[in-house]
Amino acid sequence: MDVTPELVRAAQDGDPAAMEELIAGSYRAVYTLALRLMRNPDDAAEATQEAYIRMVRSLKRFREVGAFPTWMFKIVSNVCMTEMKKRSKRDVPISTEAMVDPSPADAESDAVGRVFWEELEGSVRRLPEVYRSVVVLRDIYGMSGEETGDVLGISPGAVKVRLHRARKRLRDELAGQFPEWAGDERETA
Amino acid sequence: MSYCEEIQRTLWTEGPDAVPASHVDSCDICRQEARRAGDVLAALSGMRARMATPPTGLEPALLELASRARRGRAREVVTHPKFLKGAAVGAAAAAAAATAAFGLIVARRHARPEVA
Repeated sequence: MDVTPELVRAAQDGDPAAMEELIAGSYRAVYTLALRLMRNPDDAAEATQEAYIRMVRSLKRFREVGAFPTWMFKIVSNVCMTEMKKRSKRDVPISTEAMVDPSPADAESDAVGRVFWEELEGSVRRLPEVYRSVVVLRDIYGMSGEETGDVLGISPGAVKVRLHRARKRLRDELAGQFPEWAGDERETA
Repeated sequence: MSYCEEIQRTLWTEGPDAVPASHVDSCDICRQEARRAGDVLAALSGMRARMATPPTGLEPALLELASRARRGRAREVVTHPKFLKGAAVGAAAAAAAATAAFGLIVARRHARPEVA
């Protein structure tokens, strides 16, 4: 997210250009999080708009300007989780959209890693919702166990249990796709 | 649960930094498991930098939202089709209510007894 505390303060003070810059510098990351949780571009776009409405409404009261990205991630996660609970019985088409690194080290290394990243993204996408949500919030977006529990409405203990299972599932999936992830080979190589 | 099982459980819930290094260094199985857990966590953390390409209309819609928000009308700018559908249903309901109210007023006027 391309957002500084000064920019957040200027937006809080009602500077229209700062608000536009704040949105332009953050919406892609917010949309990506929504897409990882909801797995459908239309739903993710809808959740992103709802998240920004909430952000605009409460920005003046927001005090920890340095933590804007985390705050924004929590807002959109809450929106997504509320929507997902409503839609739990509905079949939603799952996106297979590729994620890209906006600033790859170089084209060659990006090409080499692309297969791995796409597999990993796919493995996360295929996790059951209860596991996917904890992995996305805790492991990808770095929320604490408590913050993750708050967003999901579960205890930190339940977060740990789900994380344990989700991470091992991912590891098994990756080991199936990439032999070097199986472990033993690297020990003896 | 054996000590190694306990260590491995902690590895997958808390991460490799949360277990005693002295044990991991001296136990081949736990060391291997620590490496696996560390690899998975590092890969997941790396996903944060990779982003999706949002729909082309999303940024303009959000900027319009900010512009209207300054006038306290943020809700009006939600442009997603589902929101528009909701707005259309709301407008239709309001129109139906207005028509019903008008009909009630007319009916009451006609029902009022003539006063000589």
